[in-house]
Amino acid sequence: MLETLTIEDGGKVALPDAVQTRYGFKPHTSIRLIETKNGVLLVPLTDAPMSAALQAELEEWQALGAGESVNGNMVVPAPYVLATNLSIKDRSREDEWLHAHQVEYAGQYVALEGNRLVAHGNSFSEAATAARAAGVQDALVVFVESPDTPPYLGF
Amino acid sequence: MTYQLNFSQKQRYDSLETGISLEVALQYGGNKTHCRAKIDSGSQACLFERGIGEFLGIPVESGLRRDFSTLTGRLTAFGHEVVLESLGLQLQSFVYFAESDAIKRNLLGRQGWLQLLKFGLVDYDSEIYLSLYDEK
Repeated sequence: MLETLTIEDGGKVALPDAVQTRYGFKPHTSIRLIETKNGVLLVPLTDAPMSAALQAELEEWQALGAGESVNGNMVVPAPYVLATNLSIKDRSREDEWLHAHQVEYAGQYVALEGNRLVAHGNSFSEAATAARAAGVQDALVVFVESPDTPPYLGF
Repeated sequence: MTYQLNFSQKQRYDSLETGISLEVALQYGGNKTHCRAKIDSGSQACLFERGIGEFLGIPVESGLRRDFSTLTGRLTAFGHEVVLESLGLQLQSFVYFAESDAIKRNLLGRQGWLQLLKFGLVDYDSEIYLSLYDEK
């Protein structure tokens, strides 16, 4: 999320609702303010000492230069790790379906679950929304290129 | 002199597809979707098609507007912070969504993805290897 906020009288800043929800910020929650090279971090404050995870994250911020800056202002935050070693879904059956039906669905978006076509449409939203309506939450949604499309050479 | 790297993940990719693509799950708020993106180490940032952002409920053009140069000209995109998951790794990342809905491809570039990774590729075997940059 990138949003411009305005500091009000007394140094008050109203955080967007989505940010408050994501980080568990509720009214009267104490937070820790941590200065970095390019700005500040707000972290919910607990009675416990700073965790090793947060300490490591702070070191990452410093080591990575905290994203990209333009004219000395940090505008793009560096990524940080939320989770590792999550399960990886085998999509080989989706690949098989795509190879078998490439000509038939060229130029369309398809939503696939295994070797089953869940939905298709002319836009990503159309196919993904139809898949969700069909109760398939993790359908793979891809644009089917024509077999005549020249090989990819970057943008 | 020889050098050795260790990786925690190995994944095969579809050698019949043009380029090297990975499944990517993008999440914004309570919305999540699964798509494919091509690995592009020459790309400064991660770029996704506009329709994905719109499906996730992102007000695409309210993001950080940036122009990017490409092999054939320029394109404009808007940056937003999302949760990006690929190869078992979930990151809070800043990625871009194309202004034009004519862009039908997605890219995994340096900023927001490669920047945090140790990455190996053996194209002969259609295999990629991956770890966090500081993973032992």
